[in-house]
Amino acid sequence: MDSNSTEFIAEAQEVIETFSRSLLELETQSRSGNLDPDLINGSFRAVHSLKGLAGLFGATSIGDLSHALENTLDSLRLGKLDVTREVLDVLFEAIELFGVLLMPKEGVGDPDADLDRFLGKLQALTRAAEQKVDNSESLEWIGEAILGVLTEYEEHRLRENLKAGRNLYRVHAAFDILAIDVGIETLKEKLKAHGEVITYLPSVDGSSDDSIELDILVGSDIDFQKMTEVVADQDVTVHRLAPPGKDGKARPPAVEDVHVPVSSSEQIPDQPEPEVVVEEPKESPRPSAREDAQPSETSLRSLSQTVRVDLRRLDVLMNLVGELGLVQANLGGVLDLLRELEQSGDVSRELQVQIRDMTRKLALLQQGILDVRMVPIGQVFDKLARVVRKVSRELDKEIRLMISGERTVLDKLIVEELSDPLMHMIRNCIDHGIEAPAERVSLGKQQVGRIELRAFPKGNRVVIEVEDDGRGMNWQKIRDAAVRRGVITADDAASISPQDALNLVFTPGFSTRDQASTVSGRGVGMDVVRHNIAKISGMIDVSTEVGRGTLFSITLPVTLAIIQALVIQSAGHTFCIPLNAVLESIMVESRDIGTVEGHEVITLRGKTLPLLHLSRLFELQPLSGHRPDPNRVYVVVVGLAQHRVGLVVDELLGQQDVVIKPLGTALRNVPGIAGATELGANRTVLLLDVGRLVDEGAHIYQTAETNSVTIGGALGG
Amino acid sequence: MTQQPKDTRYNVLVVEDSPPMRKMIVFALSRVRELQVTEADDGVDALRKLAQQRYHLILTDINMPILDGLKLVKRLRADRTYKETPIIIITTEGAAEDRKRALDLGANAYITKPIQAPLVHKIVRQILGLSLT
Repeated sequence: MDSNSTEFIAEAQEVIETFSRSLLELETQSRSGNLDPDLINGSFRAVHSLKGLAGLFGATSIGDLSHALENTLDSLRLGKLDVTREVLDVLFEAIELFGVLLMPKEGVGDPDADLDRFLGKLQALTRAAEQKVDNSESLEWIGEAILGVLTEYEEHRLRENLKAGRNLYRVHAAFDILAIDVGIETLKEKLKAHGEVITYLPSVDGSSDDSIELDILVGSDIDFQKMTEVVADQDVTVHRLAPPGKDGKARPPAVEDVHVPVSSSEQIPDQPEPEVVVEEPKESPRPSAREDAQPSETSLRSLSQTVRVDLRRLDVLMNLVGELGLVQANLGGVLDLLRELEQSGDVSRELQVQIRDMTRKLALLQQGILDVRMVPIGQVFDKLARVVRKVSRELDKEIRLMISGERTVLDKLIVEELSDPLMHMIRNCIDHGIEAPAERVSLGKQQVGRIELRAFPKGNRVVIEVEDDGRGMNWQKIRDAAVRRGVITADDAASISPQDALNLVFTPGFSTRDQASTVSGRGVGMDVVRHNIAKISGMIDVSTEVGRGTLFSITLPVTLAIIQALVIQSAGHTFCIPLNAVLESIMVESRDIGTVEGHEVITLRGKTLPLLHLSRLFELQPLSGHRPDPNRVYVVVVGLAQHRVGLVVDELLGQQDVVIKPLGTALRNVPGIAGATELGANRTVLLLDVGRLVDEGAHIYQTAETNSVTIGGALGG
Repeated sequence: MTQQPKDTRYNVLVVEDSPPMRKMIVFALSRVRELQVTEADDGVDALRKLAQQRYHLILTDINMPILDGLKLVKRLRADRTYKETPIIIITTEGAAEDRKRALDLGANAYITKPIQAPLVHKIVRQILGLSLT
């Protein structure tokens, strides 16, 4: 794929995601009957620019689809077409189709035929439903100066506002040329809270080199007095426009004028604007004001405010920062040397100060680069909302999806990898979890099923929960099914705990239904979900209550690019252990180590903990001069969920942020090693794969404990 | 034609809210040596840039948030500095109505998306009175 089409796809996806978000919001609004015209117009604009892009990159089918959609959206925004369920269905279908056209899968389906079919459907629908809009009423009283520059859409909105009996205002404002974006945004927010901004008209007279004057046409229910109060803290003039004969006055177009002086006595008339920024820091911090506003209003602008960066380029930067960290460590060495040489200590003191400053700034730089990789999880949630909509239709179930924490941020790579597993979980929820409406009613439940999708930070990790209020999971049934399928033996089943039984759903090939439905699909089970989540260092847990519902909880690291590690030494070799897997480090007297069936164990707070010697596991030859204390060893207790193992090491060297680098081919398949990283003085150090080591420990545990339970099935491999 | 010294270059403003589209237009214009091209994100940004420096030619998209191309044309035609400055409208193929209105408001020419570089060169050279080489 050349860089051109990569850029097109990325750009197009962004537009389509915006469009999709607007549609979901539009659907919500259409239920309450309170439609925001800006939302429809925003969608129109999004699709319009997509059409332009498609033309630019020669993507004919995307262009054709955008063109047809643009027409439909134009009819919607001009009131020729109503926002009905049928129309929304077709628009949602278009989003799916965009996805197919954008990334056609080899040999699957026929996108061109799909497009033709869709275009036919769209045309039929538009033709059948389109209606005439009454534009007979004269608007002459508004004046040619305004009417002459209104687009068809703006004129339509103007008429709609008048039809609704709203008052029409012309708000004249002067903006400082440098602060105009913030100024417009602030004023728009105020006006939108009380009505609709119909258009912005540039004003010719009065604009100078350092200010731009605009007339803003606003339709609103509030009266003139109230309107002047609304904008009282802005430097604006409000005019009311009214048709002749109304309000008993025949003085078109301006009936009432008032200039709202913003404490004008205190301001130097020549430069009133810069203060806006200073005075209202809450409302006008430039970038965040945009982010906080509704996406539908700002999406198109944000296109021009963002830079798309290839993650690999960020990785390069991240590595550089890591290497700078090494330089900094080396500087520390230089400082020590200097201290020995220097008498007065002035230079070394100064160097120390500078190094400390550099350390702080390096940390900020690292954090800054990490922040760039972070994207809100909401991107995935939007996709899931579409899945819920689609699957619930297919299965004739009514679902209410509740989303929270969509602004929680995660590494872009993790977010990308999450969407498939989450999609599958949601499908499962709807298919297996939520009962059919009639069944729900007979159970005394609400007819509409509820699925909650939550994301929230927890410590330095992020938790994502998928909860439904469906039938729940019966652990005995799962256990019996597992026995039938040979996943566990009948003996194992007899002693299995409810939680372990539940965890069996994550075992490969497991499904409690004899007939996998088309929705969840056959063969792709929760084992794949768990595998995909483990790939991004996540853990998945399940809890359930029969008849009440099920909660899946995914715990994820915020990023994979950099981790905190515990640096340890074994037989003179140095290793790193991801700190989030370390539960504690303890010192153990050699005499406290016991053996069970040839395996070393210790008893920690009443529980048996299997020990693993890294030196034996990796068959390390002790480096010359290395002589561990024969009487005591350090044990680093590592674990995932409830499974633990103690790693026997010689030294604990400390804690450090490390940038993980992929392994070369030689080491890639060595079990127990997850990657490599660099510590100071050009030393390459291996990072331990805790998941594998715990598996190893579990294996020992199983053979050591006579009355063993099945742990292996619930552990990652 | 003699080489233009640097300071007598023509300042051109490209107003387009879609970054890739803007990039393409700027790229097409980069082939005309005599131009010094500046980019504006949208109509408001255009007004800001127009006030900061004198431009000899403006290319603008029509469909933009806040201040669209039509209103920009209207504003410039009533402006002391820019009332004679050539404006080229960038429209999509189907938008005949937009095109007509822009020309009525005082735009000098139009080009349609997708952008065809040779055509853009020709129109720009013609409007600025440059030789067609």
